[in-house]
Amino acid sequence: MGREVEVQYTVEQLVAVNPYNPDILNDLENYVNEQVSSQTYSLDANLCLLRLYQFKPERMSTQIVSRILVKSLMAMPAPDFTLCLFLIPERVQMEEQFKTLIVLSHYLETGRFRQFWDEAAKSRHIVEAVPGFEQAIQAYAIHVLSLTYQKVSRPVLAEAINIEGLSLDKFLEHQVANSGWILEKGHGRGQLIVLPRNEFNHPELKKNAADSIPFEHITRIFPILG
Amino acid sequence: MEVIGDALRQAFMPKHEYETLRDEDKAWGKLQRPLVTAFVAFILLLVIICTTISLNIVFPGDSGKRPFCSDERLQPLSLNAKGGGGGDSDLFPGAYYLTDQETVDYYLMVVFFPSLLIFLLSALYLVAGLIVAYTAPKRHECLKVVENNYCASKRGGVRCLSVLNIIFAIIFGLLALFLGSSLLTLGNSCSVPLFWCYEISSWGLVILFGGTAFFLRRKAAVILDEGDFSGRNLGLEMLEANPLEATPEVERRVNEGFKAWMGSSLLSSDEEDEPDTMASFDYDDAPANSAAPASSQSQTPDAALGYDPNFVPDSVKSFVVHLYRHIREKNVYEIHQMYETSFQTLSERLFKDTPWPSVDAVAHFVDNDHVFCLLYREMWFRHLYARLSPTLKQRIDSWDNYCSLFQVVLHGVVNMQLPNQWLWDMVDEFVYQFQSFCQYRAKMKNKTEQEISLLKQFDQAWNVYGVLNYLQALVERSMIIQILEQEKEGLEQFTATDGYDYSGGSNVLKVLGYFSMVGLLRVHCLLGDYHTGLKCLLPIDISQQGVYTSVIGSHITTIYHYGFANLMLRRYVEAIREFNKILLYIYKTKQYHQKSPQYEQILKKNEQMYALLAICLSLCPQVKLVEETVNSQLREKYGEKMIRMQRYDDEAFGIYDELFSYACPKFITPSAPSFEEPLVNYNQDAYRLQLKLFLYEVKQQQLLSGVRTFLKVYSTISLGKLANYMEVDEPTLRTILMTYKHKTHAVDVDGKIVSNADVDFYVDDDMIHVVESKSSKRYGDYFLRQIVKLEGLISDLDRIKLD
Repeated sequence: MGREVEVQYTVEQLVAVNPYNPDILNDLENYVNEQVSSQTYSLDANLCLLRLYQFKPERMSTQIVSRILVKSLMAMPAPDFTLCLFLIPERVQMEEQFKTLIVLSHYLETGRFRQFWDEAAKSRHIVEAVPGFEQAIQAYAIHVLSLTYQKVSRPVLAEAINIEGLSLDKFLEHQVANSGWILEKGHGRGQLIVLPRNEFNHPELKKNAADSIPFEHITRIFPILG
Repeated sequence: MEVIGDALRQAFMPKHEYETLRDEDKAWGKLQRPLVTAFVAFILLLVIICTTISLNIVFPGDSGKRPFCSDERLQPLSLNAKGGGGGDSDLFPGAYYLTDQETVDYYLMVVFFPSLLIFLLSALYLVAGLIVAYTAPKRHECLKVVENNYCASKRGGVRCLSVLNIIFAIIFGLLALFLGSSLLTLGNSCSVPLFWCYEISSWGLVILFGGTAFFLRRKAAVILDEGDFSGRNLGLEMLEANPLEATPEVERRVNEGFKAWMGSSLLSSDEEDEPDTMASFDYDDAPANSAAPASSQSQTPDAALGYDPNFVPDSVKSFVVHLYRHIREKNVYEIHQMYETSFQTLSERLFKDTPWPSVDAVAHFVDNDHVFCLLYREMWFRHLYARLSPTLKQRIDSWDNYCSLFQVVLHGVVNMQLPNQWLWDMVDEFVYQFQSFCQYRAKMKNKTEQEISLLKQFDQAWNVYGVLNYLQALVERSMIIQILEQEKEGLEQFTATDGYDYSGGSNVLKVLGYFSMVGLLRVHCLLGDYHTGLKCLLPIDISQQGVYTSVIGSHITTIYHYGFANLMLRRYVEAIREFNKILLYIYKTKQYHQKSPQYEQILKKNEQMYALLAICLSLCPQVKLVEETVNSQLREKYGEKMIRMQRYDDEAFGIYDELFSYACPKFITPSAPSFEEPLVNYNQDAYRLQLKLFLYEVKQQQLLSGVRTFLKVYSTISLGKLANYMEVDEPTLRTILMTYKHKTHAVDVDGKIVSNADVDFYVDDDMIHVVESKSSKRYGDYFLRQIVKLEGLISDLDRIKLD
């Protein structure tokens, strides 16, 4: 019976309850595979596993580590990839597949999407093992684009998300319908895409935080007002 | 005779010179005891003689002649005109005269027997008191006489005994006054000698009782006796222990955690066999010097003769005894004084380069109290780590000691109040020793065979699971997270009382749990797990004052690691903000800590945080977040370097490298070494990895400062033009701009995107529009602060007027 109760704990809960328990290593490894197949993600659980590997380097499985890294790449723009690298010994990082992942991360970090897609195409075996990889990176690319651009030209977008031609048209149609993108006619050279407004590409949207005073600060003068 | 000579000489010596004498040399101390003993014997003799004489008067020998009653015929006549049995009453109506027989009967029945009865009652306490006072620092068996008394349980045996003696002294004084004077009124010839006998013996007893009480009172501090009354001597933790209420859930979680990594060794390493490990210390550098401290003036305890772990100087004895007493009495202020000042002074004076006396040598001064011995050893090891270099065996023993100490605390049975400073130091030292052990273990190259076998044997010592689980267990068992949560709703007081418990409970577990969160942050930073580290600190709201700010060491450690973790997570603004606050705080309060033992540490962390601030500001030039004083300090220290860091050439990387290496925590590799391979040092591995990844990040940002400079000068500029200026092609410029956006927009704790950018822009197809983020002053906050300040000033003024 007790066993059954245990099983009901999700791995997430296990990590929250007892993060420094070497016995959950297997559960965590399985959980990484589960994350891959079910397209979910838990940084805490993965960091916990890497930490356990750090304590017991002989238990480390490079396959699991590489999956964790791919998963963390997909979590861009969060710095999860570096967070994972902080916990992986240098000599392990020297292995070929990790080197590739580090290069990929470097391209993403520096906004070099064309190089990224080229490199990713060369190492399909790593990234295609994880479903949803392409979409996740595209989402990241769109995130960075919409931080930067109010209006972006079609080729730039195409390069960043690595979609061209008809499928790009389909993609755009979908975004127009769902995410409030607007297509404009550019001056002669083709389409311009108006990305949804946010406080980063439309600075006037930024709430003027300076003028508002948090409530806690007001409470300090309550006794004086009273 | 020699002693008396010494005493005379010392009596005439100047005061300061006398005070320089060691306690053992002071002749008065030696003379005291024989003198007092002689005095007591004299009084006793007097009492006995007087009693014998009075009894002789009462029961005259066969001759019938009572001694000292020689004037029996004259006295009554001269004084009271008539003798005899009270028949005639002409001159003094109502006056009557007693015969000798009646007088002695009166004396015997009214005076002597009641006094004897009282004396017999009290004799037990008198004798016990005398013996206890005589054998002072040792606890004598005689204390048992008061074992079941009401006052003993409340105030301690010695004090109780002293109170009893005072009571009897007063009783005898009253007897002497009233019963004695009633003898005189009899006006019989025998009444005067009886009166004198009675008075002398009663006052003698008064002196004896009073003296005993006085000495007992003085010795009460030394003879610590509480906790011994029902025959159990289990120390502090047994005192009115009210076991912590832990929900079964917590219980289970904690136990699981322990079982998981400690297995059965949890039980075997427990409690009782502690002293043995202590005794088995081999002090390599200390030739056995068990000779009793000679009283020759030239030799001081810390003489270069070596270290005798069993020699306890008087000052240490009194330190230990008083500390123990204050802990029992929950006198936090005194504990803090002794801990902060006396301990440092004694260390400075007597134990500059030797350890303190071993715990075995002091244990009997403190009733062998288990918990106190653990605390003492904790300090013992801390002192050893600070002043000498610990051997492997000592490191392992220190680990064992921490385990025992935390076990006792975790079982929730301690009932002490310790100063926050001490509790912080425990956690801090625990993590420090862990870090130090990892560094030590990683230097495998020049390990001796013996050390390696010890390392293999004690692989549980300073095991990373152990360290993390202890900290985690302290956090969970103390329920500190829930307490802080409830405090926000006003259901609980923690911060307001600085964590102390004024309703009689113990603050130890709670505050240890609180500081353990900071400890966890630090351990995780040492491991390179910044995300988890920050998560551990989450329950503490660092934007406000809290218990962590009540101890300067914890304040600095918290912010240093918090800032560092944020730096590594690219949340530069957050790091800058907190560094700025703490650096300003240190700048303002530095002078108050000059005498503190942590002063050097404070200064070092101060410098390191300036270096980290320099790094943050170079990567994210939000100078307006930095207060003017901090900024000028920063320019003074790193101004020139910061300019060079903007250039992003090899030299700049060199400076980033230098500052990071100087200011980063001492990263550790937590795993045990592999003993088989050719032994290699791996103590630098963790540091090199963090440095490399950090420099990698810096490299990714190397082109950003160029963009920044151009963006500052233009309000709009076309992509082509800017690419031209920057000598790159347009697609590259697009990537640079995106990098800029990505790197300046960090993901915060809640997963929201926050902008760290000082200069912001947006691109409209081919046009860059620059948005100068105006330095928006926070007027609201400023006014609020001024209102509070003004109000304080006005109320101060009001107070002055009243005076």
